[in-house]
Amino acid sequence: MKRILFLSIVVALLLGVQQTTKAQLSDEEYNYVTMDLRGILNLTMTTNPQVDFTFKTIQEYQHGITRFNATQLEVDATLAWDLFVYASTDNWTQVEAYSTNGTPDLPAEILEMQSSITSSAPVNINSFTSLLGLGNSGVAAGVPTAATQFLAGEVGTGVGQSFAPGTAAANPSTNKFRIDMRLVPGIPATFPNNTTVPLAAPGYAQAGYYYLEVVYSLVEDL
Amino acid sequence: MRYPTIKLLFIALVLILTSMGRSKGQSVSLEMATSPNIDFDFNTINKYITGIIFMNACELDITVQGVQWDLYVGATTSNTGYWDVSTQYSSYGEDPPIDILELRFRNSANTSQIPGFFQVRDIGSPVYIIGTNSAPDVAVNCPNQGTNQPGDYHNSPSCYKFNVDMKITPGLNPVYKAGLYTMRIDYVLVEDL
Repeated sequence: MKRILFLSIVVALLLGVQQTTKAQLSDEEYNYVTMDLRGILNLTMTTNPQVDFTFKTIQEYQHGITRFNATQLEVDATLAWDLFVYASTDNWTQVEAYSTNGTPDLPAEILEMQSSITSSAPVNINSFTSLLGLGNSGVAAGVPTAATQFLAGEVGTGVGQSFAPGTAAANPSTNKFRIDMRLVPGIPATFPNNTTVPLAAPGYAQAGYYYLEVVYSLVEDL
Repeated sequence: MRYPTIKLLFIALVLILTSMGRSKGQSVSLEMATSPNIDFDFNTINKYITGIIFMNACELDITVQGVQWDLYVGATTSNTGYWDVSTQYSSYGEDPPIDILELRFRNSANTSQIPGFFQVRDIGSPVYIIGTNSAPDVAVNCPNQGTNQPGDYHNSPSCYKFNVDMKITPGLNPVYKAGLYTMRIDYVLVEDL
């Protein structure tokens, strides 16, 4: 019995020693943090969206009218981006005709545009260039092609084929666009600067009131 | 009669000895009084640029009896040093590192050893708010910076309660891939051994 008692005491002591040589006391709590980084593309037109050209003198017909800084665009983006432009139709829409002479079908290409920021795209508006109508722009369902006029970036995702993320405030040289517009009817109103799409017979414009919608599209570089 | 007495003595002895280990009143307890889930949603350019700060994102309550203690914090992710990816919306940019998350531990006595915001590190090399990774540390009593003596948040909230602020400022340089990311932040209270 003494032997059992002795062994029991030894076991008890061992248990006690095991506890007193204890593991380090510790306690933990956790936070689960999620971060949602949304892709953001903001295109802001800081000028009046309506640009009017009124030709009421011979001089204005001959020399045309140029609207410098007709449109200013600002881009804020968290992604690499492209910016392109096209007319939403092939022709200007005639609202009212003032004469029966001439053609009412004025192609979008009679409007010339120029961007303040140089684009490396093969088709661009770095200098005064005819704005391509919907069909000629190659844009289908809002998706551009190599034929589309790019203000920034171009088709493809290679190096130099997009503009980097940034804000207009911090990067005015790349993210603030000033668009100049020009119309030169000539006399008769053949719009001689337009060499892309000839006017229909008789080859000059019918006096009237027209409008054209110009689309600026900011897209992720895909 | 003799054997039952011995048995009783033996049982009592075992109970006394086995309870000696922690019957000295030694314990550490860390409680979180706030929701464990924190969501940062960057859905405007302004938030990207100026960042998002969650004040009092987390409240930690400490109760320590009988021992000196350390408190440290670190991040646990699958890919050490980077956020866990739930989904990515874009292939452009870099994977976000964990250190874009910044923490700040505050209490009214300013006992945190790191004042202001600091960048989160992996739990493998945690940031010590109280104490160091070597022991024993010099004893510091409340309300001094680095307080590591026993105490509890009920009686001394100025030293044993921490409000944790969180801040993320992604910016646009470098650009991180748009997506949904997760990370676990571990707060560890340990006896200073």
